[in-house]
Amino acid sequence: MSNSLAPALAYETIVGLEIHVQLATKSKLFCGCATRYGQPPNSQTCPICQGLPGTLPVINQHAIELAMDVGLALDMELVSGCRWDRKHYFYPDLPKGYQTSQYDLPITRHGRLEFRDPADSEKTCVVRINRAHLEEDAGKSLHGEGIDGGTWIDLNRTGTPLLEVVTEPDLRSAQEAKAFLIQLRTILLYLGVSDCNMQEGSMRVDANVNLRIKNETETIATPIVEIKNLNSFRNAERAIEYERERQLKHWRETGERMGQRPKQTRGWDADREVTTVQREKEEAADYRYFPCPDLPPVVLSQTSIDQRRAQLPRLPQQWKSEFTRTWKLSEYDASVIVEQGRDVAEYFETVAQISQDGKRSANWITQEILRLLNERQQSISDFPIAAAKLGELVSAVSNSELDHARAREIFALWLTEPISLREAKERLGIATVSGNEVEELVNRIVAENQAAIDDYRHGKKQALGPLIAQAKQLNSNVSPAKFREALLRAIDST
Amino acid sequence: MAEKSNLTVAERISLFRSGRSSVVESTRETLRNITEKNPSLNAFIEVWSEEAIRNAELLDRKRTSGEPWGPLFGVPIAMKDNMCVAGRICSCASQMLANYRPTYGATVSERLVAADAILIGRTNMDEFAMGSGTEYSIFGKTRNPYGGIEVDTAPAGYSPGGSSGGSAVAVAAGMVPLALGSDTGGSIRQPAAFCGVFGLKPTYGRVSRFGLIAFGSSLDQIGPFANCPDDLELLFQVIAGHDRRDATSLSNTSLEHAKTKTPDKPLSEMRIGVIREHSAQELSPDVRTALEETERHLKSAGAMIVEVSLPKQEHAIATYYIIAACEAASNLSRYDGMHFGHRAQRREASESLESVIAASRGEGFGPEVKRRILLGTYALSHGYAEQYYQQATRMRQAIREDFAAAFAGVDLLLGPTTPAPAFAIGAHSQDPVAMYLTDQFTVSANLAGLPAMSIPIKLEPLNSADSTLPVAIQMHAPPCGESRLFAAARSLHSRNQMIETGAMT
Repeated sequence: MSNSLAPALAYETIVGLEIHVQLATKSKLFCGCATRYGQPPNSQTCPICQGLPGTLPVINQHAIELAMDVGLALDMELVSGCRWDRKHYFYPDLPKGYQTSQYDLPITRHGRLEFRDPADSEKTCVVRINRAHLEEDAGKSLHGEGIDGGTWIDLNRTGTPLLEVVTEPDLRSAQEAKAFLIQLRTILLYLGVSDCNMQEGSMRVDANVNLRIKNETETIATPIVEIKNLNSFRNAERAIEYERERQLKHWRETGERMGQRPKQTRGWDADREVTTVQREKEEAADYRYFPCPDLPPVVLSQTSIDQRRAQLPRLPQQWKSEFTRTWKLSEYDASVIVEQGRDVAEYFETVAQISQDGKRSANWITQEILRLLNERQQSISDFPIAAAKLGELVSAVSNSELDHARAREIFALWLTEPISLREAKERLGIATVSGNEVEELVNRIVAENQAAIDDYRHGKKQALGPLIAQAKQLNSNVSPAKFREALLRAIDST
Repeated sequence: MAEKSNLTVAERISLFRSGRSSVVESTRETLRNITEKNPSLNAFIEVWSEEAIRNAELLDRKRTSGEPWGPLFGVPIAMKDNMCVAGRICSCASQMLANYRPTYGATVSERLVAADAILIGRTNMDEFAMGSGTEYSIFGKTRNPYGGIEVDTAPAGYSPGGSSGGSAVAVAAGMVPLALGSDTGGSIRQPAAFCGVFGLKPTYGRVSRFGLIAFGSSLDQIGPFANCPDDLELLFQVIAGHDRRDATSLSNTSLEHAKTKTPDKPLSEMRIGVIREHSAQELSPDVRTALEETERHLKSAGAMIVEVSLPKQEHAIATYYIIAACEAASNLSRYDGMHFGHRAQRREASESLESVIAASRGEGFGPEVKRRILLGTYALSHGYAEQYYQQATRMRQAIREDFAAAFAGVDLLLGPTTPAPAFAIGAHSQDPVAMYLTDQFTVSANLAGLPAMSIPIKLEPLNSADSTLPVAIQMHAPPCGESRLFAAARSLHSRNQMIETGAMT
């Protein structure tokens, strides 16, 4: 791709992101229609979101609260008195002829987000968040699906609440952009403000990309390109990476700088793995923004802000430090669990609280459960073994009431049988072995295996293994650990 | 011609109570009256006869069932053609919506039905409520019942004013006792003045705008027309009140708060300010005399008359026409022919979306609507918004402050509704600015969100014919001070009645 004869260039990739997040409200931003995905076309519409003459918008308070949560989580300023503005353009899937959005006074602004540097896991990157504003989504144009190949319009999505998060151009690579997006999504999921389902369009990414090229005398900026509607993190990463290379090559060929051509909008063609020009406007579209006279400014009282702050769910970073501090998990294990989302983190916490054994709880989850969830394409909420039951099981192992092998048998049984620990033990013939029974077993093994015990005394530590196996054969319920302990006591005392 | 049915709403309802008339009989009488008078006046665009009779029958059944009666029991009411009634065409007198049938009803329609009123039909108006003469309508012009036809000066008769001209005429001609209009810059008060009826523009937010097809959202208010203050107040009470479907509707708390700041007062304890900037304008002698007579009467009723100044008034018209046009341009963006309303025939299959939208709007809108869309689009455009829209917004704030300062010292403000009585139909059709200037005293109440009422004072004989034209005055009250306006109107009304009956000259 790169021209090997060209001298090495010092340059930076400059990336800023705009992320549209569909808020997880039950109803639309300005009317009572549902926001479910995949319903029959136009079945979730009413005179208001159809934009019928005479209808008026009324703000969905829940959308305001969710936007406040995002603002609080990203250290943003919450703007009381924020306004609604109309952004005008004609398009058939925009029935009012304007989109109600927030222009100069967004609900939140000036925040930051930290994430681990993908190039160096010891470091963190900080991205400044310029703003996050509320707006309504447009409908969907189904081109070529109408009569005679015409266009059909589905207004189900019209009026769905979106929060548009706009970053400063603080990202310096495609990898950073991807790491930022993953971190942002994790936070949004923990907040419960969106399902962030990119396939269904509840999270959509636009990336603004250009290069800052340094030569001996100056720093040259290449024209900014906006890549629209990136529908997966992988596509975002690849599109930015492609754009970096394309702009570098284009600059080498033309020397074109920012300001020498209008801002270009490009789309990512995932099949061909290239970006293609969508639109190049000689002048910026004039949306004639003006404050929506139908909606009063949104007042965010200090009381309501304090209330939201108090109710804010724990954020991923807080979960992680809780896991490493209280449950002594490694940074790695804590990250693995937290990145699975709030349900898995909560599941872990319950298991750990009941078993009082964080390490062992984490192992069960990361080694058994996550694998099974993946195999079964299941979420933790549908997993047949409830956290409390697993907690009981882990606890039994920790207290040496069960050995790991028997615990696994119970676990396997639980995947199909909704029975209690006691019932499972009975079914599998697992009985608690008393101290006396263990002593008797030790006496018998010692008596029958003098040679092996002598070997052990002469330093052959592995001589105990077969003895433990023998004991298991004699009584499958005996805990190997407890038996070993009693056996060593017996050897020492003779 | 302008002979009115003398019955007040209360008298009508008492006829139903006493059993001297059934609602069906009364409704048939109303329909006969409309059929007789409408062809020459063109107040109604459509009369909902069948449904009106059906509803009258239902009400008659209710009369004998012992169920409680609504406050407008059996009273026929005319609706301006910009308020939605579910299933009824609502056209805004525009080609754009000539066949548009809303699937839902306006809050005011629902409230009227709940009050047992009979919605009798929709009335003519200026297209999308943009105009001051009920001339810009695809249904033709409406004629004022007063003034008659004068071959030289008014060959087509006199203008009823606008944009709610049809509703004003329906009440003035006695076709119905009550009608609803909408007022964005004077569209209730100016036709009320021209037609000699009472017309109220309520405080912004007191009447829900839900279901009123928007013109200038921050200015629009629905309000009543009536032949007497009692009827006017009755209809106002029925339509006013918080509506959670309109985010700009006043909450009960805000209303209570405003009312404690504007307590009711008897006229004898009021200080009434005469707006210097309005009375200093060029007024017709009739209007000036009406103002003087009003002052004298109010004084005799014990009120104190003082002069007050609203220094920013000279900018009111310019401010209004920018803000109203900007909001109109935005509100009318939805008429693109894609989902509802007029769609232009495509000349060829390959025609672009943009040209279909442009053609639909070009064909669907009339000249005045286009003029205002162009004005508003220009005033909101990049590079001009600061100079026009922002500047107008600041001036609007200054005008509000003017009123607030004036109301610190007086309880009501008095001035003319219009510079002169009704003009001849067509007098301003070549000069939009002259037409805009007939609103010069009314737009301020909309800019400031205040309640204002046009009160008929007298009928002035015309020089050349054996006919008369009504002359009116206007009063403004502080926010939510409608009851003060009703008090003043009642006093002036009884004075007028005494003059009419010869008890006073």
